[in-house]
Amino acid sequence: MLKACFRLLGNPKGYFVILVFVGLLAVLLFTRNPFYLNILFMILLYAGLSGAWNIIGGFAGQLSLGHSAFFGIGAYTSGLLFVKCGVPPILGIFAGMATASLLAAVIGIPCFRLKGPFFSLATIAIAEVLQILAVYFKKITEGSEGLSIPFQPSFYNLIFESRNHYALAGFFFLLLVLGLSYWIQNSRLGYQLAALRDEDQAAETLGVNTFRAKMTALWISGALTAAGATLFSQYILFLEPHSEFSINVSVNLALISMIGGLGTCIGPLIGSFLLIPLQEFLRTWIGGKYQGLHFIIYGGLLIAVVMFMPKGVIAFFSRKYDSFLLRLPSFFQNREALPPPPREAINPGLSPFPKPGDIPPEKARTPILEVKNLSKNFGGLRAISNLSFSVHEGEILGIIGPNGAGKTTLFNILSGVYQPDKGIVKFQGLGVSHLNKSHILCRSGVGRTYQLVKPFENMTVLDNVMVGAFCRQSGRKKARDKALEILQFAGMAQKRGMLANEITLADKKRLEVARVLATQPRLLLLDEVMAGLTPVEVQETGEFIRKIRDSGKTIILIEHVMQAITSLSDRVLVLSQGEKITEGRAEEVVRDERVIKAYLGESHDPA
Amino acid sequence: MILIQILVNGLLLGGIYALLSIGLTLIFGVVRVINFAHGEFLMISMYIAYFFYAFFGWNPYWSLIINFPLMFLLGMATDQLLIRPLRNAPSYMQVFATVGLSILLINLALFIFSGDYRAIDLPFAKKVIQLWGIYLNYPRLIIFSSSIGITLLIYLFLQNTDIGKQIRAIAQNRTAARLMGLKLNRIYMITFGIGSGLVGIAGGLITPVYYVYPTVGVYFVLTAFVVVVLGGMGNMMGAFLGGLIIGIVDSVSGYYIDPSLKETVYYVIFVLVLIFRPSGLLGQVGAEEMGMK
Amino acid sequence: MILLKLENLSVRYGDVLALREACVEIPEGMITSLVGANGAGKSTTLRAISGLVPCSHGSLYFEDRSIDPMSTDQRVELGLIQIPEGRLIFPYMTVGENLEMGSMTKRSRKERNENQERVMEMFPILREKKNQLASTLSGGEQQMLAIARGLMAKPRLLMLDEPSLGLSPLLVKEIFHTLKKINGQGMTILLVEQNVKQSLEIAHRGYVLENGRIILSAAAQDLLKSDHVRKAYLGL
Repeated sequence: MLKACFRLLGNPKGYFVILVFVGLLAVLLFTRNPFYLNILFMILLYAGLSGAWNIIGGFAGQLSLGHSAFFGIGAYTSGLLFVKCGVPPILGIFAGMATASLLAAVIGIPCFRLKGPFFSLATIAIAEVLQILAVYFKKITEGSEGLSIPFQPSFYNLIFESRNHYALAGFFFLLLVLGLSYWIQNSRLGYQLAALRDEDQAAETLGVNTFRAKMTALWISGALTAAGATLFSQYILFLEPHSEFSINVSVNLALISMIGGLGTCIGPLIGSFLLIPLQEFLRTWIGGKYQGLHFIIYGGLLIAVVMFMPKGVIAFFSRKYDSFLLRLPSFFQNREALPPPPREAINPGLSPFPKPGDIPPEKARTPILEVKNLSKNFGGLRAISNLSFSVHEGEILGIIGPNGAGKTTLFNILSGVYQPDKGIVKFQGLGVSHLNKSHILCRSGVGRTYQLVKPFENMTVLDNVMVGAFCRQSGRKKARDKALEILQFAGMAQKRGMLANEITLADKKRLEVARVLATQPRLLLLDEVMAGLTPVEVQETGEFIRKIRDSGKTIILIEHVMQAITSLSDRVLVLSQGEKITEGRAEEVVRDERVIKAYLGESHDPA
Repeated sequence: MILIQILVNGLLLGGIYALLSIGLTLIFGVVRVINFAHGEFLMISMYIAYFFYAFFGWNPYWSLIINFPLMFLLGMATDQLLIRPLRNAPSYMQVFATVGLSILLINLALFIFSGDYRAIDLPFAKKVIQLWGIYLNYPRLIIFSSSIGITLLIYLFLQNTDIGKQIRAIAQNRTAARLMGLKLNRIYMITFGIGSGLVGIAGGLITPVYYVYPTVGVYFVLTAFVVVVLGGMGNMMGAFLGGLIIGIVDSVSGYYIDPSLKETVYYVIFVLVLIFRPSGLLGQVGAEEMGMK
Repeated sequence: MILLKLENLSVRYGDVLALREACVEIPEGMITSLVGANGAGKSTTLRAISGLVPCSHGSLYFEDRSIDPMSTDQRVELGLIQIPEGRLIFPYMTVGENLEMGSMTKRSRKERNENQERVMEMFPILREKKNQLASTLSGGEQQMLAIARGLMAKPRLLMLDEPSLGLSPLLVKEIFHTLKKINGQGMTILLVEQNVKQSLEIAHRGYVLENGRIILSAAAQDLLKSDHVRKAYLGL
């Protein structure tokens, strides 16, 4: 623990940030000018609020434009408890956070199934409803006349005589939010959010319960926003529905993060430092006289950022920042070593593969997968028709068939993306066809890859595999070790630091497999994993697949690259137009008349 | 009897909502963009109509001569300058861009015109026609009949002209449309123009009945979204029907529940529709998924 | 003469080289067939010709004129018409309207009515169902509609992407018969197909694609007889 602290302090990344914060603290403790202190407080508070928004908006990619709902609810809960019930805000703040969490459930449950702008629209609507309700129930909230909070300075009231103390409160709020953000980002939740932001469905098939992850992010975000709202209301000392629930608040929070850097920890702080002084200065110099001018600039700024700096200021300057940090001296650092290779690692030189058919008899008796009379229709199209087959543990089953034969549909059913219309699927003796969530099937031990690779582009190779590892491990260190172990098994350890969108196609395909291997599946479904590869790469992938089988897994392969199928598969299943044509050993199947006809087509009857 | 009056009021009100929503749904169905600044186009045309009357003393209904072409051009400009560069960007960028435009326009209006609520006092504004014991407010009747007329015109345009058919084709299958040699970018631009132009006409029509102020668009655009989602994104008839339905809901809940809560009712409907039938009443199931990535 | 020429054409999707230095020549008035396993690059070739995807290398020549800088709509105007995979008809438009959509180019607009007559002669079922919504048509009828729609554009080169997909053998026979007839009237056809036998049987020339590369190019009859094609598909 102490070692970790020293390492953090010695690393330029660590101590530079700490220095900045210490400097900030000094400034806010020693400034006397009320105007600057006001701005400072606003900067810190909005940085915290936007940081809270960032947890759901940036990390999870769910763009809420209705966060003023949380803001208002937090402000009113603590404000009303204080004014009407005499509850000190130091306690009221927690009540506000509680109501915000409840609101998060109310918003999340219906709205998380909406994508993109529809989610944003729904959040706007909810904030509007709350605003209307706040005005309507004026007996409680004082409606549009506004609720005045009496100026009774005390620590428990979170009301201070000195602005420095407010600034200090804002500072601690910011630290809390930043600390939480940083912690989340490096935790299992953070990895899962980053994954579902990039590729929702791929995350699900890696065992990520996307709904639960988003929900967790939302209630944390909402609760923090409500907490900040309490601090704010104890500063302004006046609550009014059109301010607290205003769409301007929502947009402001989103804009600050966007400008600073969406999805980064420090982005909201940078955005706040840029926008809030601008806002306050404009409001003071121009405000009264030229109402609305500062918002015109806001609007223009938003457009400009979207068009020219969509990743925010941070992305723009990150290279310069990184090279600046590199020039600073570092202390207490040690080289990051790879963990020793796992003992069970297979020596590539030896490779004793069990020949097809050499499966131990006990295993051969129990099929790990049984499919009986499976049918699936899409509208009028019969994608799969009365399909039955079984797979034994340790087998490699190849599935071939012309385009439109139903192969990918079969995989989708096996991995829980679709439910069959008729028929049963039994995995390890248990019926699974009723399971409609891919992440549950993943946890049960069924893993799959996709025809079109879906790497989490903005994460490193190692992080990608860690998402899979988090399916079974809960701690970061364990997940990381597992991921490294898998990467070594896959022969990709040296590329662990590269971004997933920077590696070659062959590597992306291998990453896809490694990622799902980290979920420790018993059955692996590989969908055209050889497509687009050169003959050498096909060979290497073949060896990798054998290695996986030898480590105890069962594999089903959909392939078009015939050499691969024939050399890898113990058995081959041929599908055409949703039906099974035949199954058997590869060499026999490929010479089967019916198979040849299915692929090459019937010829004309001579006219 | 009262119920019938309420329903009729609702229908007349629905005409307004229908008019606003038709443009929005057209833009969404074809260009696949949610224009958050749609309400501000309305606001601008309302100010123009207002000044037509207040400055020049002209009948504000004539303002559509300026409003339609002006909003048409504004719509085309928005598509080419703001949306086109972001066509392949993730959808949240388009959201932010149009939200930014909205903020810009609202505050520009605030800056230029101040936040005062302005109203036109037309001589016939209070005129009421009586039909079988039902009172019909004259300007609202004009709005209602205009909305029927305009919907019909747009429908005929889409069904019978080459450009109209191209617009429909692109909404149904972009790839096929490209392979037929249709110029997608041009059609997007024209559609955005038409959708915005329609809102321009709406502005001129509703100014005699509503206050004009910088944020008037915000109120209407949220209602328009509810209508569009209810009717089915991209479906004209749906927008028309949805408008009438929301008008009736507005009127009925205003009377039986509380005028200040009526918006709550249709936002609740909004969220419910988004959850249970996101494709809306007349929309194609799955339409809401299209173009959302 | 050579109507369309692909010279060392390469198409890249991200990292995948979907088409590698393909050289294809489509002679005027003949049926050329492009066959290959799934993922071999057949559809990519058509997409590149139509301009739906950019080419990373190589050139396209139509009547000896480079069409590389042209956009999709410009190529359609020239007469490069593709009947896409999956038909892609406009589901909520009538059969008649779908046909009209085929004649939106300047060249074909003038002759819209005559062309409509002509295609309805060729596919009488379309005349019968002229005012029905296209989504109510069966798979085979939709394929005919798609072909008719393409013909409405007055194509110089008619390209078809897997027209047999999802159709019963009888219908497939009918479609191929129709294609032969259209070719008999002088239309140059580029046929991309999985159904190797039938497409090579009506074609004059054939190309076999594997993993984005053209591995065989010969007279269609020779390809039919050779073992090469079977090897390419089934890896024997």
